[in-house]
Amino acid sequence: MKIIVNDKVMNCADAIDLAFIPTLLQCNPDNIAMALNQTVIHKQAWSTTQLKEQDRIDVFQVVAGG
Amino acid sequence: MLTIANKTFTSRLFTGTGKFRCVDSMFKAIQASGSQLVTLAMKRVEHVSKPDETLARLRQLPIELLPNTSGATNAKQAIYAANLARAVLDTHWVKLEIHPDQRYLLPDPMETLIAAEQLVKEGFVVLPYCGADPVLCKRLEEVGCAAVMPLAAPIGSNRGLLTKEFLRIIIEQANIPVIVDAGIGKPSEAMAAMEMGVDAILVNTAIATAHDPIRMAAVFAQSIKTGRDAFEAGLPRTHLTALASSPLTQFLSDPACT
Repeated sequence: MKIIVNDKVMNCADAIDLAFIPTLLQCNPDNIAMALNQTVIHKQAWSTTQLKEQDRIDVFQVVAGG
Repeated sequence: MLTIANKTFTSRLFTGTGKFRCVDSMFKAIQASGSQLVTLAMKRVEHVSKPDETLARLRQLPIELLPNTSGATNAKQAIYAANLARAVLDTHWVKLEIHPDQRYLLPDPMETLIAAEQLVKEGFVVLPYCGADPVLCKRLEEVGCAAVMPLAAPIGSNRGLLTKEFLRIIIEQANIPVIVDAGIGKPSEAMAAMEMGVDAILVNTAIATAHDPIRMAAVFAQSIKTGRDAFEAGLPRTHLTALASSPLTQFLSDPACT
């Protein structure tokens, strides 16, 4: 199925949950926050949040800043 | 001792983490600064992103993390960024920062007030970066902000206390801490702000881009402590004319002395 991660269309298996996204992006899950269709999903709920076709996922990381 | 919301701080120097040459330099400079409140930013993950050690290193320090909403150009985006930051950092503190204009990075007062009110309702401890506008600072206080963070000069400009006279009014009127944020370029400017009665100062660029950031962090800490001590000791009034410090008896020509 197709999902949209940070505005980029990505192909992935049909039965995946939000917890798979850090692997997909090869980033550290401790350092990121995710929102599904503009709703922030807390880390505890990632593995129980199933994704479906055309879902939009925003992935943010903590970086240095003033 | 400075109290913001339910937290107390012995250091009145807050620091940012941007613009350092490397994570190690940032880590050591923050250690040297003695800062207990340190800002971070949120950024969308790029599809090919390098690992970032900033957060892992900061978690080794005895500090509170203060995520900002930099990059937001309106209230809606800032509220979204604050919620994302809360999810990853497990803090409900946020430095609210909304600047649509990239040239001067001046904060949007209307959007900042709208976002501040909403974030307070959502349970955030809101520290808004704002213009040095005494009326806006009162409005931000009224909607429940825990402090106000008026600018001294544009972000990263190192131009010092350009807003000095307005900061004086803000300090006079505020019932919440006033933290000068942005534009402080020299320790002497930080000291001058503290002498005026500012509660704390946030410094990033002036430390991070110094030739020796670790030493500069320590110097800012000293100057801020000295400025605060001077304020608490009570600075004397100024006068337009001289007021003699020595006796003015004209003893050489005074008949009583001959």
